[in-house]
Amino acid sequence: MRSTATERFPFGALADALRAILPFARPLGGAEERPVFVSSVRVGPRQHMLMLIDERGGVVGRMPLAGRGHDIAVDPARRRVAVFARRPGYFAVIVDVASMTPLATITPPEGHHFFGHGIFSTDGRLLYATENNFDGERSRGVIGVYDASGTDYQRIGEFETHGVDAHEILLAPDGRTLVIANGGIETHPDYGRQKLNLAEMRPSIVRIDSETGDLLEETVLDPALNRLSMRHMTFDGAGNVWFGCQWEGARSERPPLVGRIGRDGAARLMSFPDAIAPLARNYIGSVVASRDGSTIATSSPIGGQVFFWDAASGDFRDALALPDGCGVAPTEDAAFLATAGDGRVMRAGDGRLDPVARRHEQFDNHLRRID
Amino acid sequence: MIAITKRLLLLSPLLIAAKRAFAQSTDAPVKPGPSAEALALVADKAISGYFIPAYEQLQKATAALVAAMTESCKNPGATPDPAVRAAFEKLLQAWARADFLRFGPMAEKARLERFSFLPDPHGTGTRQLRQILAKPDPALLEPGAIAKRSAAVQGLPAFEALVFGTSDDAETAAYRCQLALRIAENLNTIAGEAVTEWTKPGGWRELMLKPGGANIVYRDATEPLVEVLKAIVTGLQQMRDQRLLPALGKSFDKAKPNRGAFVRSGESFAYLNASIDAIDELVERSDVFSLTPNDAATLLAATEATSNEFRQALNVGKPWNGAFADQASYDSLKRAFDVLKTLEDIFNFRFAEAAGISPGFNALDGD
Repeated sequence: MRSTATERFPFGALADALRAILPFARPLGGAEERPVFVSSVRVGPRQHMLMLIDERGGVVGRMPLAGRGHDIAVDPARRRVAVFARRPGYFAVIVDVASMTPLATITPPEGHHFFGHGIFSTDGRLLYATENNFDGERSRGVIGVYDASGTDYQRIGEFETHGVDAHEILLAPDGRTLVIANGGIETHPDYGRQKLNLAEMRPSIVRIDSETGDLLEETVLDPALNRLSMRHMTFDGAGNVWFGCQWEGARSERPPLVGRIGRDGAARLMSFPDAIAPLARNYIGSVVASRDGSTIATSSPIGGQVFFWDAASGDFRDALALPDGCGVAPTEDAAFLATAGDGRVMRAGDGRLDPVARRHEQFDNHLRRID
Repeated sequence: MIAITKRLLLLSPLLIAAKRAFAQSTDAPVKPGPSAEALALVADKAISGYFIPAYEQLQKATAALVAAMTESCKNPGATPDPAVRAAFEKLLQAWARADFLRFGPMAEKARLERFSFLPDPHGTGTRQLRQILAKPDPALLEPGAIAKRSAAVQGLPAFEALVFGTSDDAETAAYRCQLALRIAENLNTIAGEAVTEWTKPGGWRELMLKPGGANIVYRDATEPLVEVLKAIVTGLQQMRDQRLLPALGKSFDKAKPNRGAFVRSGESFAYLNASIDAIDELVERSDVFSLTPNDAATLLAATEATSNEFRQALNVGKPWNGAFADQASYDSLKRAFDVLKTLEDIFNFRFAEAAGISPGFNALDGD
């Protein structure tokens, strides 16, 4: 996307910033708009922010956070985002994108913490957040339902996730079904982020009716893979759910890490080519579909790789090296913008990874596109 | 796509942010990392100066515990034999040097969990041990039998409960002693396996010393170093999240001292002190700060000052349970908890920045 914005706003470097968010003048007239991307970042020891960047890695806005942020739910209708604190998280900030100012801060109820992920309903009136209810004898995953239609963001209900360690949550293309990954790893904030139940893990991906909270479907893997924690997901163009896992078993094993759940609710695990499998380090951090739904990007910050898959065939496509790379968001067609913990911003497409910018800020695991 | 009007933009703080952002250049300077030789040297020093000696010491300490128990079980008494206590104390000292190395052979075959099933928030070990003692089964005293049972009953916490627990049931005294002896033997076996798996040809030492090529664990010279860095940070986090946080609770009124580590034997403070000593020792023996010659002195001084601050905050002059019953001591322990974060910043942030090494903001601790 080449732009002639500088001709319209001939005031030097500032034009770069404006270009990122203003309608663009096209050479032949008319206007073009550009997406912005949002991520949690670290700017210093224990100093964290929410940051908006454009496709070229330029900063469009920043807002300080009280602690390390994680994923961001986007409400395009009202130009808001909700940034969730990293687990065990005790805040989510609703932010007005245009001004990068906080509209409200949500805290989970006593005995709950956020897991770092959430999603808005299609109309933006509700916000669903994955939470850990750690009050009882055993921790359990719940979805906190928050009223986002006004200004007070009351918690108006909760649904069971029928598992522990509820992690990423998606809203299905039908606009009604919630899909939740229960990572299966028990944690309790009294023990920080320590994993407490590796031998007894039972991860699952569930579909829940967002109106009734009913469990519609549960997908589990072979019991031999009970240490394969399913955590992050995306929908492909055909409406299948792609998921990525982290392996909590022995490091010398090479379990599959990426899978696809079809309409029948059955999971098909994808395999890496033998030479590629060790590169993932048994860990997938983000799972994101391209704009056209044809390509799935799965990143491994531990392996320092981003892997691409053909959504339709399930075939492995390529692996591109990006140390500590985790954030991935779709740009145009089948291309992605990828971010790394060392401040790098890259463009991934056509089997190549091209540098876009290198920033001082360290990008957290998830990058989201705001349309 | 987001459409923001010019009017809105001009009114918004966004403009100010944009101005500020573009006053500086977009691209951050990239610091060249240390040479492969320098990295390999640190890895080598960490391995031969710290990791392997730590496991050798663990093997020795477990052997000494087996010897003390064998002797003690000839005449099992209600109170623990002083020789057993001394051997157990030494073993905890040795374990504090190794418990945070959550990689390598100890991380395979559930050795870490079997050696010490901590944390155990659901009291699994206590429950299972109670079941065992309710119906003492002689078959469990066969050599090697305990290793086939749940991890919660075959390691240090189970040993501690059997030897230092409050049970004075004379009927099971001999059984408890024998079971504790079998656990000590199991610990010795696990420690021995760790030493072998580290030092044998093609073992973990070689894996760490020869990164790259067909090595799927360590693919380049940076990765063994990141492992060292990760060990340091994990050690600090374990002290905080496994031992102090569960006991401190949310506030003084909600403190739960019994959730500390090795409270029954009265070794909680000694264990924490040994843990901080271990971190200092690993930093010193690996010479990790040599990777940032210009900042080495500053970083080392900061590490020493901060770990001393931790030791002082920990030294409340009271036994563990008493410390949680006294507001001033509690506050001091809370301070110790906070100081660990400062220490973590040194390795996670200051050192990494200065040395041009990315320990992996995301990779270090997955989510």
